[in-house]
Amino acid sequence: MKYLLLGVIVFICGYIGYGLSKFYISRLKLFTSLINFTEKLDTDINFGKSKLLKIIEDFKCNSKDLKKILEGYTVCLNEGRPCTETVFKEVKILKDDEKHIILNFFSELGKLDVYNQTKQIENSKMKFKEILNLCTEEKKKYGNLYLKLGIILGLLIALILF
Amino acid sequence: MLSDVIGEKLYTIITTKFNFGYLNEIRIRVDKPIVVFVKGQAYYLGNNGLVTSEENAIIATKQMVEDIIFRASEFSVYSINEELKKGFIVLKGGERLGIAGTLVCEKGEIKTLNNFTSINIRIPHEIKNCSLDAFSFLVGEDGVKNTLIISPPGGGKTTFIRDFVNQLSIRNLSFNVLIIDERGEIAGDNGELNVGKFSDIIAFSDKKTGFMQGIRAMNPHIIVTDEIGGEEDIKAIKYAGNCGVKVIATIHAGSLEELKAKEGFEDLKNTFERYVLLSKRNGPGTIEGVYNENFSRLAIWR
Repeated sequence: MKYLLLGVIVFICGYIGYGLSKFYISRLKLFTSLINFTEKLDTDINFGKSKLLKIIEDFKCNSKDLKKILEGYTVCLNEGRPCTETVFKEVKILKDDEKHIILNFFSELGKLDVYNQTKQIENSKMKFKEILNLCTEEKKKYGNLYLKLGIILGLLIALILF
Repeated sequence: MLSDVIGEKLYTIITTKFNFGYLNEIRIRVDKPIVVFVKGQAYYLGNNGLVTSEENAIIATKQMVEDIIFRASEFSVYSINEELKKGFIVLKGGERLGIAGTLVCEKGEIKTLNNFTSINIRIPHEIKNCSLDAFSFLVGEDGVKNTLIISPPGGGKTTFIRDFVNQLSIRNLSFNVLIIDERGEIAGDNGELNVGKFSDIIAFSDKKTGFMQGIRAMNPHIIVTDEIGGEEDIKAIKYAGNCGVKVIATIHAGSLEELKAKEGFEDLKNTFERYVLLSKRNGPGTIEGVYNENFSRLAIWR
């Protein structure tokens, strides 16, 4: 019974560590998907002149958070509302300046001619890439660290209790 | 659809505060009062409907104009560049949205239109039987006569030819009718407007291409087209005549004198057998007279 309890403590601490690591993984996924999305936009706008809602619908999104943002953005479009911070309502992993950059990207989407829209997408993609590089570094630094720390902390508690 | 494009507020006003059936046109200009044409008469649009004083009118903003175009393009302005170059978009309900702004040209060629400043929304209406009074003069035992419908802008020419084609269908006069719908106004963007059961539609094509391709591909008895003018259109009509195809066309002119003075009309004079003059006197589509090839009046309605 005692060993089982200690095992549970290690598991819980490890899980908390994993949760903290996931934050960095999710951020990485979001910005990777966002870059994929800009690439799809670029192709579909230039070659297919596809409508924005169709592009969003067809986009295979690997990030749950970006999916939520795209859903919120689609609702704003359909309801004729301007794109505001409400699209981030269920997304907790973004910093304020990142929200601002993403919001700027979406608020210009679909409002320009092909040439200027392509330029705007290209500029946004560069900004997303900069953030992605930071996210990659953060993930390298802290991604596994929290998981390891969690397990170590769990073991430490187990050791003290034992 | 118009409701998706102009926004809830404007749509509610135009559908609840006066008879939408009489609405012909909405004009939205940046920083100017919104003007609507109801039964051919201009009014300002206020929050409570039609108003005559400018102070009570709704003032359009740049944002309003941009939002309307954004929504009309299905949130994809980049996808409507060809339409912007022509200066208009046709909505799903057949409404035509004319746009003014800054034309971007390069080496004499229009590249796009941006910095939008004005919108003109023309609302098509089906006026049942509006061509009926003239019908018997345009269809004889030998078939439909080459006919030119004449009226000033907004005079009901398109409504007239749409109803005329529908009347042929109602009477089961199974002529193959080919509609060359350059702006999508006769049959709508996707053929939503009623043009009878014997009609084929070539949409958004210039007349020259439409006539050539249509005659080759669809073997029509009659070609119906809107707003002729210019050398290419005259050539297309003559080509149809040489192929034995009858033509029902419309042209902008306020009177027969104005028509006769039009450049290029001399070339077409021997083509048409009937002229129908419309005006806005009792609302768009008022038939002023039907004339034969010698411009002798066959019928008059006063």
